[in-house]
This record gives sequence, structure tokens and C-alpha cells, in this order.
Amino acid sequence: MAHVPPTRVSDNPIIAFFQYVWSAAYTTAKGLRVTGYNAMRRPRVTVCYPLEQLDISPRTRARHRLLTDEQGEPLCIACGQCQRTCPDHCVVVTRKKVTVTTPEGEEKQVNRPDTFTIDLARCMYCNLCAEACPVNCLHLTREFSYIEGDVRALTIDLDGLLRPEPLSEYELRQRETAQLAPGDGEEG
Amino acid sequence: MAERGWLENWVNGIVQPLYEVAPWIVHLVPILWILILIVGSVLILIWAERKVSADIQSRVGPLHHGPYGLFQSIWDALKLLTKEDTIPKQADRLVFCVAPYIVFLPAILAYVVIPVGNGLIAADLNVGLWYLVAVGSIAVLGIIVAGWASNNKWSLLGGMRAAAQLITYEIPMFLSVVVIIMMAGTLSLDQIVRSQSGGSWSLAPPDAPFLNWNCFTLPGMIAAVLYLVAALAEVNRQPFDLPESESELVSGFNTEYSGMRFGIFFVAEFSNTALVSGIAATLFFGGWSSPIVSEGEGFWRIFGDGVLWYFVKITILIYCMMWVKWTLPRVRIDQMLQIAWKGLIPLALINIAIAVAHVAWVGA
Ligand code: SF4
Ligand code: SF4
Repeated sequence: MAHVPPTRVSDNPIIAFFQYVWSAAYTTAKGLRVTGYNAMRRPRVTVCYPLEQLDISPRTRARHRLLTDEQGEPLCIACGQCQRTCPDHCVVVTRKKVTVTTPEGEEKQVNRPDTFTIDLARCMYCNLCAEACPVNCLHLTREFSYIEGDVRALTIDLDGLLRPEPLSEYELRQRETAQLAPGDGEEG
Repeated sequence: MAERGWLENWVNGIVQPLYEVAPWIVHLVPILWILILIVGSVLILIWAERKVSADIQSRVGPLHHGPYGLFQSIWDALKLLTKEDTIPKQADRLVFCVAPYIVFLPAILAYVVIPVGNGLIAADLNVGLWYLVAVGSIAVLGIIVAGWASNNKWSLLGGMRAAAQLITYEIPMFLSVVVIIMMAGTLSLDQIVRSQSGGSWSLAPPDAPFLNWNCFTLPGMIAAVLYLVAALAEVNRQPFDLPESESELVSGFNTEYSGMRFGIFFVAEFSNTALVSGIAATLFFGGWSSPIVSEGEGFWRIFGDGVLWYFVKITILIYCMMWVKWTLPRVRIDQMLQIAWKGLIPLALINIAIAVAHVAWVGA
């Protein structure tokens, strides 16, 4: 348990004593310098979270969103791939047929989601559902703050998934790939 | 003048008749003064502790209760007051309940002899310094007793550590104080402060009265450092907070305490911190004497000797204690004993020899 100062300890006990005292004073001063420097540091490292917020990584995966086309119609074809892939079984999609008019003017029946719920309380934000989606219309946004008093309120439905906010740059890029994707409702 | 007239009216109208009915009322004044001093300093210190620790760790600290979170400690006190106060089944009830007050007691007792300002002293005992050392050791009794009465092994270990710490650190503390007694030639704290302020026998040039302070002599300087290290241990602050080391002993001697009894321990810790820095300021840094002008004229009068400087000094000292607390990790129990027996006590003895030489050659 002997004290090991950074310098070599003398064999002379009296000199060793003063070396011991010196190393105690020196190392304490060194530590105080480090903390003193940190105490002076502005701005501080911590931010007051709800009032100010740091930029979060663009690759953050949080609350889901279903992309829509320019007319505001969901791009989802209710294929149920996301439901099948989800390891937590927290996605439930039901399907309905709707008639849409193509730009060429002909009417056509496509599959659209009737209900679409995701239980955010059970989701682990693994992104598998978004990767499985054949039309790339489901993806995880960066919106990570959705506090509810009741855990059941964390199950979001179609309204919660089709967010009213305008698309971010990333989401717009995402939608381009979504429209390029094959099989947009063609199975009729 | 107008104020004086108002004050005189007040004294004549209320205090005088009261005094005639109950002459002991005068004794309430110092008691009230001490209580205000303690409660005020504790409320500010709890807040300051958080802000300083936040600063050092680059955090922000309390923010929402009042400006800069100043009222945080009041909310803390309210929270503790409203909490359930539990006493363990197997505890020694009487001792368990009394222990926090024993820890708190010396802070009140010791303030009796601390000169806060010129003449602002509850009782100028001619054995003031001895009295201070004597009552200073009561706090640890309370800690030992709290550890014993809780009937909990963590508490008991904490109490035992407190006992070891007391026995160890009282010695360098008193040895460093002895130096001051030798240089000032008195035990009265008021006299000690006066010997350091720019009096007629001042050796220092008139524009630098602070050179008169004990900490600007060689033995005084060493004694100040030794005293401050020993004082850290005496009030169980990091790096010497072994009696309540959270990471090893849950919370040490106060593990079983809750509610306001726990709060009293908390208050005691902070009032003892304020107390030891007050003693250090008095003994080594000139107490209430001013470092720039001892008398002062006009505007400079407020910077003359007085209460202001006492509080400035203890603020600086407490900041340093907090700075050390948030810098150094807790020492092990064997290191704690080693620091005192192999470091502080030999140094303090050498220092006494230096002080003898100083008194012989330079004069008291
Ligand atoms: S992110 Fe993962 S867990 Fe969450 S809904 Fe999608 S697949 Fe399920
Ligand atoms: S995988 Fe995509 S298209 Fe299929 S149901 Fe899920 S979100 Fe809709």
C-alpha cells in the first residue's frame, strides 16, 4: 500500500518525506488546474435540454412516418411486408381497395392501407420495417420526443403516421426513391 | 440622522418595555444572530455547492427555482420536511433521534466566539480558541452515535471511520492552531483578528494592511494549509468523506435517516463547512480586517474593516473547499490515516519549530 509518487523516492527518510509532501501538493495542484479550467469553460458542455437542443444525428431513427405523393395520398400499398418483418410485432396493417385516376385518365383499383398502427412503446427502432417496404414509403424520422401520459397513446395510427409537417430534405430524397420503386399498386 | 431617530423610537417603544419585563431578552439577540447566520449560510451553500459542482463538470446546475435557481435549497428543505420520517425497528430510538442534533450542535456553539465583524461577536471568551477546538469535536460524537443507533452495519462502519478520522485529524488541526496562539499571544479570537488588522503596532505598510495577516508569515502559511486540509477531514467533506462514502457504505452513518432528520445532517455538514472556513479566515486571513484600507474615507469606508470582508473571505475559502471536493477522489481509509500521521503531523511539528524561530527573531 506504499504511496508511489511519480518521482523517484530517496533512500534518506527525511528527503523522502519532503518528496512525499511535494508530490502530494504537486498532484493536487495539477488536479485543481484541470477542474479550474473546466469551471471557466464557456459555453458549457451541457445544454438545458427542453429549452435548447443539440443537433441530432441525421441517421437517428425515431417515430415512423408514411410518405405521401404530391396530392397527399399515402404511397403505401398495404402489402404488409413491414408487419411481417417487424421483430416486435408492433405493426398492424389492414388493406382496402380504392379507385384512383392515373395521369392518363383511366380509372384503376389499387391497394391502400385501411388502418395502419405502430405501437411505439414496443418498437425498438431497428428500421427493418422501413427496409422491407417495397415502395420505400415507410421510414423513421428524427422526431424522438413524444411523451404521453398513457402508454396506449403511444400506439399511433394512420393519422399519426401521415404527418402534416412538410417533408424535410432527407424525406424528399426518400420520396424520389419511393416513386422510382417498382410495383406501385399495380397488382390491382 | 433620520434613520437613527427611527431606530431609537423603535428601541424605546418596543425593546425597552420588553427588556423591563424580561431582562433575559438580551440573550436572545446573539442567539437570533447566530441562527440567521447559520440558516442563511446553509441555504446559500447548498445552492452554491450545486452551482460549483455544475461549473466544474461543465453542467448548468439548478436553473428554474428563482433567478439562477437560487431558491432551490428552499424547495429541498420543503421536500425533506414533507417526507416520511422513518425509524428502523431495531434502532435505539432515543439516541437515533438525538444524533442529528448533536452533529448540528457544535456549529451553533462555535459561532458564539467567531468575530464576524468589528465587535460583532456573541461572546469574546478569553479561551475562545480552546473552546472552538473543544466544541468542534462534538460533531463526530453525533456521527458515531448515529452510526451505532441505526443498527445497520453500513452506518456502524461509517461511525467507526468517523471516530478514526476525528482522532487522527484533531491533532494536526490543533498543532497548526498552536502556531497562531504563539504568534498572537492570546486565545481570544477577537484579539487574534485585531493583531492581524492594521492596528497601531502594524508592521505592514499602510496601503497593504493584508501583509499583516498570519498567512503571510512562513509558519502561518504552512499552518493555514495544514489547517485547511485537516478541516476538510473534520467536516467530512471529500476527499475525506469516508464516514458517508456513498459508493462503499451506501450513505454511511446517515443510511437509515430520512425526512428532516436527514435534512439536519445535511444542514450540519454545510454549517460546519461555513464554520471551519470562518475559523480559518479568522485565524489565518485576518477575519473581518480589510486587505486594502483599514479605516477608509468616504466611499472607501464600505471597503474598510467589517462584516463584508469576513463574508468575502469565507466565500473564497468555501469555494476552494468545493473546488477540492469536486477535484479529488475519495481516499482509502489507510491513505486517510497515512496522510495525517505521516504527512500532516510531522509537518505541523516542524512548523511549530519554525514558529518558535519566527517568534524569537521577528517577534510576535
Ligand atoms: S423499427 Fe423495427 S421494431 Fe419498430 S416497427 Fe419497424 S420493424 Fe418493428
Ligand atoms: S411495407 Fe411499405 S407498402 Fe407495405 S404495408 Fe408496410 S408501409 Fe405499406
